[in-house]
Formats: sequence, structure tokens, C-alpha cells
Amino acid sequence: MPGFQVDGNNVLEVYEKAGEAIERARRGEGPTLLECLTYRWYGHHEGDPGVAYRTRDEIAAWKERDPVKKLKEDAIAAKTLTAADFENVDTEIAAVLEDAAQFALASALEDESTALRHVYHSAAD
Amino acid sequence: MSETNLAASPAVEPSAENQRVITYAQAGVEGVREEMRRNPDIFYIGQGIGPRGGNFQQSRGLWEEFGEARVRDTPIAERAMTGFGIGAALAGSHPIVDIVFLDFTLEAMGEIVQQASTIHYISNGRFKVPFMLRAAGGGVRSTGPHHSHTFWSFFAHIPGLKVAVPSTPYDVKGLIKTGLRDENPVIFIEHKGLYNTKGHVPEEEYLIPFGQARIFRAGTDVTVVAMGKMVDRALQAAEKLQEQGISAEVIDPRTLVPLDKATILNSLAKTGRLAIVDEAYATCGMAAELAAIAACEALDELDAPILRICALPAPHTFSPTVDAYLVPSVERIVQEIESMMGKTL
Amino acid sequence: MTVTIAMPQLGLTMTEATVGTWLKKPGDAVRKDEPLLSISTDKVDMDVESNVDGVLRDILVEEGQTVPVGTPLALVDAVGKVSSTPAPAASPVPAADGAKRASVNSAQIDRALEKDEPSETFRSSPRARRQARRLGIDIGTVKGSGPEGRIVEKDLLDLAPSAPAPPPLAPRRPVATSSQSDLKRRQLIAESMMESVRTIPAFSVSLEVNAQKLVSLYQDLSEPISRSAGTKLTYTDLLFRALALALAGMPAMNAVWEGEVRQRSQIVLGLAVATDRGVVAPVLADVERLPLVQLITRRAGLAERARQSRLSFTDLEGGVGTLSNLGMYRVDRFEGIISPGQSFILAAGKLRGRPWVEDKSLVVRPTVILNLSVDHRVADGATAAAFLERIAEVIENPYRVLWNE
Repeated sequence: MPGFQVDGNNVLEVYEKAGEAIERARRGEGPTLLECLTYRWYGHHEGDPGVAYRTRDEIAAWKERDPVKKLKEDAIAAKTLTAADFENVDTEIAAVLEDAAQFALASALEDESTALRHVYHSAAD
Repeated sequence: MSETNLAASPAVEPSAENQRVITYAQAGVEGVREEMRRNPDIFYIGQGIGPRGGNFQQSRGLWEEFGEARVRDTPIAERAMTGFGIGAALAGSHPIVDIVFLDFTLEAMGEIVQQASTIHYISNGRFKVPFMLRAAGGGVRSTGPHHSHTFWSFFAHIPGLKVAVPSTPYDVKGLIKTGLRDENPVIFIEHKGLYNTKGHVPEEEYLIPFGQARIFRAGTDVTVVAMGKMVDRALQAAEKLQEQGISAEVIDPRTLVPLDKATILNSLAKTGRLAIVDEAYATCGMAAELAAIAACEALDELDAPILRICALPAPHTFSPTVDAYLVPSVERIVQEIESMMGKTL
Repeated sequence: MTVTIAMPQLGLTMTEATVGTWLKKPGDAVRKDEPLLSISTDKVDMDVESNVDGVLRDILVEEGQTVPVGTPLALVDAVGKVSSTPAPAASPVPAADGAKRASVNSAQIDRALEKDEPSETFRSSPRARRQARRLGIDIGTVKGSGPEGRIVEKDLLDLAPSAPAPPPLAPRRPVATSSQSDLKRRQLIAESMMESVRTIPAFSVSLEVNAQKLVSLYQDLSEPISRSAGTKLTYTDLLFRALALALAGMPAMNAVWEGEVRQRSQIVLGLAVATDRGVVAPVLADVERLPLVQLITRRAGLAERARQSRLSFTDLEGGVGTLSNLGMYRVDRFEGIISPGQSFILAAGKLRGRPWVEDKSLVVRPTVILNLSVDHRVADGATAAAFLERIAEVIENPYRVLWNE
């Protein structure tokens, strides 16, 4: 089985190598191993600062290699997309998130009476 | 201190002023540390238990003291970790495999049930598996359906496994040390919601024997058996019941296997009523088992139907309100015991 | 239709009984619940009643004969319909203690053996049913106070001490007191004592205990508590309680030998009572925790029934040990014989002033000499000694007898 190490913070490289692997699989030539080197910026869960077991320098170094920033620069350099396109996407996503957050904050806490619903499927659902 | 002296150490911490108070998590670390110093065959593996000190600080400082050779992080592969631990135990080590969240022991169930519990038996006693599987159960702060379970009864169901479920810092240290001197597979189940609770823990060594329940509160009207975090809730409920003249005896079995039936049945003989408070589900759980023991061995002692106060039968939820509703609350315990006593009809 | 009246089984350990006196002869009309004959065992005397209205046709077992449980005793030709369901509670008044307990109709026994409660509409807890059996109360006459009207143990305990003396109604022929019956009783006591000596490897430990505080407690308590209980407080009550409290702290002694050591969960103790027909030792449960007034009332009721030969089997079963107090005689010390089925007997001699060393000087103190005989299969010397020491400690610091826990 062929295997490749790729820069997991390079979206296009991952896309290209993954595409080749998929093609190969579809041709019936079997699986491919892709090792995408990347990094989790934040803690393991909300509330975990994530600095007890790694250094701040390490985190900062990986943040320098922000995959979103790199994709944006590459796309603009290749004139595939403009800065305005990215701004639109950012605005759109920010709005979706804000809506979701407002919805959650405005909603009442779940009522206890729902606790035993959907444990099993029933026709009444 | 000799082992004879240790065996005779008190099963309940003596009460006195100015005693050292530490957390449940620290008590566990201390117990493990003492045993690792005492027994070079003990090593400790798990996810994030090394430099990170454990998700709940349950291994804090061990990596620094004992180094990478004896305290080591593993990949996220519960079955592999557990199988590795069992193999090492067979080869003469005494591993602690920390699964961290009890829920993920499911990933290792084949190793635990099919291998760890059976090897001594099927080898006609020639091999032994001195091995501790450590994990924390229970819901805390909306940990949701995959990180909140309390299914200790799975393990209690299997012959060959011992199961400890400490509810106080004192018991954590005493029981984890006993567990690490046991030559059998021991499933050591702590409670996530208790790790930050504090209590008196002597600095010196002590062991708490397995199979010795602790009577937290004496009473005459109803025997309340509770485990893990429910011990504290049962005690709070007992105080409220006392205001209405209902005297509850609260017992924590501390180990589910071996189980101290005598203490529970003696109490039942006194009170005539049995209520079991368990954060796990009622169906086929420890509450069902204790109810069956009472019905089979002490039917004539019963003055009321046995009461099981357990988690309602639904997965845990992220919703704080719904999850609080699913797990027995102090109010629910009080209410159900009142109706058992015929006080609310 | 002909109905067979058989020898009832009146307790777990009863295997046989002796026919005492036939109260009816063939050809006599008999009414349902009317006594047909008296029977006696090594423990009690009681009547067997007819379970139907009819005519006594045949007597199958003669007076003085001993037969196994279940043996047909008589045939009665029934008049009218024979009901196989239990009669409704005959009397609106709760069954009177002694009377109800001493007479058992064999059909009731059969039904009881078939099923605990054939067709009652009330609910009762297993613990309440056990207590009803112990107290000899017909649970069908009890009002329940538990959830959904369930009868719980408390309902029976509330009833027990207030149960009146045998009712003036339904006068009964006095139990046969022929010398033949007395001889039989003597013989049965003899057999029981022989069985004890033959089968129980017993040993004794004894000590003398300073009872000064016990005496002052007794003097302080005697009058008010006797007034409240309606019966006199005795030293036996205090010793009985002391024995039970010591036992509560020593679960190893709350056990009997049944092929192996069987530990008991409840504390049930016997009290030796001298009667004009020989010694008998009825039992009381929960001696360690009954309120003192109840303990006295029950002890007195039990002793009275023992003297009247009106004990039921439940009064005699289940004890783990016995207290025998001969303090009313000029006996300094003596040794008891353990009842078969039990594992110890505490023998208490006279409470009187004796020389006592206190702070290196000789003083006179009221003391009592205790002798504890123990079944060596159940406990070793050290355990017996520790147990006796605990008993002594309660007597020396007797205020513990006042509270239950």
C-alpha cells in the first residue's frame, strides 16, 4: 500500500493527494495511506487551556502556519478568488453563528418532560 | 509499617481537629504514588495521564516522579491499551490502565471480560492477572451521552473481576492501595463529580479491605444503600427525612465485588425497609442486584416493597435541566422514601 | 360429608404430640371452632378444634398416645356445607392474645401450609406477617397503616402490648392437669436436657460483678416505670436487657450451631420461667431495643402465660440463648443447661452485699455472680469471655439499658 506524508495545513496539497488516492481506489487498485501533519490549536475540551503538556512557542509556531490564511493567500495569488469573496464568506458564516448563538441564548432550557422522548422510535414521532 | 498493622487500620477515618484535608483526586494520586514506590512492578498507562497529569488531575505528579518508563501516555486505543496491560500482568508486572472515562471501557470490553476475568480460571490457577483498570463514571456539568455513564454493574456481573466504587477521598486512597495489592483484575471506578470534593486523608499509609461496607449514618427506619456520588445525596436526603421523624441508615458498599451483604442485611433486619440509590439505571443494575439479595435472603425482614431510586431510562443529555432530572436528586430521594414510609399518601 | 381432623403442626420444630384429653366423645354434636381434644408437646399444651359443625363420628387416637404431625385424630360428620375458604374474622374484636394462640384449628393450619394468605384483600409486608406469626395475631384482624393500607410491622407491635388477657367470653375447659400430663411434661423436659448434655459440648465462664449502680438505677426507676407499665420492674428485666445489649455488640455470639455456625440477624432471647409444671423458657424478640416499658409488659405477659401453660410455639422458637435468674433464692452461683437449638445460657445468682476490693480497700458492695455456659461449637473461650465481660460492663454502667441503639 502506498503511503504519503503531506502538509496537513496546506488545503490544496491535501486536496490533490486525497484526490489521487480516491482515484486510485476507484480504479480498484486499493487503499492509500495519507498522513496529514496538522495541529490542534486549543485545548482538548472547553476549559482546557492546553498548555500544560506543550509549550506556548509550539502553539504559536503552528498558528503561523494557519491553513485558512494560507488557502486565502494562495487563492488570491492564483486569482481564483478575491479578498472580497473571502470577506463575503466570513460575513456569511459570522451571521450563521451569531443567529445560532442568539437562538440558543433566547431559548428556554429544555423541559424535563422531554427527558424520556426518543429513547425508542415510535409511530407517534 | 507492617502489613498486619495496615490490615488493622480503621475502616473509617478517625475524626479529629486539624487533620489534613485533600481532594478525592489527590487522594487517588497519593495512593498510587505510595504503591508505586513500594512495588517497582507497577506502571501506569493511559491517555493524557503523563505530563498532562490526567484529565481530572488523577495522575498529577506521577510522570514527574516515576518518569516515562513507568508512567506513559498511550494512543487513543482502549482495547490495545487494555490488552497490553493484561499481557504485562501475565508477564509479571502490575499495570494500571487508566481509561479516564468509564464510558470508553466499552471499547475494551472484550479484553476485560473475555481475557482479564477468565485467564486465571482457564489456566487452572497457573496464571494471574494483577491488573487495575481505572476509570471515572458519572455525569458532571453536561458531559452528555458519551461521557456520563455509571455502568458499574457490567463489571460486577462478571465473575473474576473485583469492583471498587469509592465515594470519599479517604476511601479512594485506602481502596486504591488495596486494589494495587490484589492479584486479581480490579476495576476501580471513581466519580468525575467527586474529584474536587475534599475530605480528611491521613498522610500515613492505610488500607481499606475490599468487601467492607461503610455505615455513613445510623438510622432505624429505612436502610439506604448508595454508591459513588449518590452517597452524599443520600446523606443530604437523610437529614431532610430526619426532620420528619424518618431515621435513615445510609450505607456505602464501597466495593461491589466483593459485596458486604452482611452489613446491608443486618441493617435491613433492624429497619425493615430497603432503598437503593444508584446513578446507574435500575434495570439489571446494582440496585436490582441488591433488591434481589434482600428478597432472596431476607424476605421476612421486609416491611415495605424495596425501593430503587436510579437514573431514569434514557441516555444522558447535554441539557443541564434534563440531565439533572434523569439522575436521582436529593428531593427525589426524599420524596420516594417518604412514600415508601406511607408518609405522603 | 366426613372431615378428618389431623394432628396439626404448630411450629417449625414440632414433629409429634401427645393426645391429652378428649373433650368430646363419639356421637357428640360439635360446633365449628369448638375444642375437640387437648394435645401436648414438650413445649406447650393446646386444644385442637373442629373446623366444621357436625357430629364426632370416630376417635382414632386414644388419650396418652403420641403420634406424628398429620396423623388423623378423629372423623367428624359435617352438617351443612363445608367451606374451604377461610371464615371471615369471627369477632369484631382483635383476637385475644392467649386464647387465640393456644387453640388452633387444624383446617386453619392446613390452609396456612398451602398458602400464606388464601384470599385476603388486605396487603401486608413479609416482616409484618412474620411478626404476626410470632405474636400469634391473626393478621386478618389488623388494620394497616402503611402505603395503600398495607399492614406493616408497627401495626402489630402497637397491638401486641395492649392485647388484653384471655377474654371472659368463650370459656374454655381448663387444660387437663392430670398427674399423667405432668409426668409427661417432666419426661419431655428430661429428654430435652439429656439431648443438651449429649449433643452440646458446653463450657462455662463466670465472674462477679459490682451491681451498685444497677441497684440505684433499679431503685430510681422501679416506681415510675412500674406505674407506667402496669407491672413491676424486676432485676430480671434489667439483666435481660443487659444480656441483649451485650449480644447486640457481639454478633459472633448471636449465632447457633446448625451443622455450621449460623448467625442470626435479630436478637431473640429466652427467659427461664419456673412453673408448677416445670421450667419453661419462652422467648422475646428485640430485647435490646424494645422500649423498656414494653419489655417489662411483654416479659410479664410471657411469664404469666408460661405459668398458665398457654404459650404458643412462636413463644418458644428462635431463641439464641436464655437468661436464668435464681436471684430470688439464696443461690450464689449456679450453672444452667443450654436449651437444644440455642447456644448459651446466662445463670444469675442472688444480688447481695459481698466483700469487694475498691481502690485497694475492702468494702461491701451489692454484687451478682454470673455464669455463662456456651456451646463450644459456636464460640471459643475467648469469645465467651469477651461476651461475659460485655454483660458485666452493662451491669456496671447500667444507664445504657434506658435507650435503644
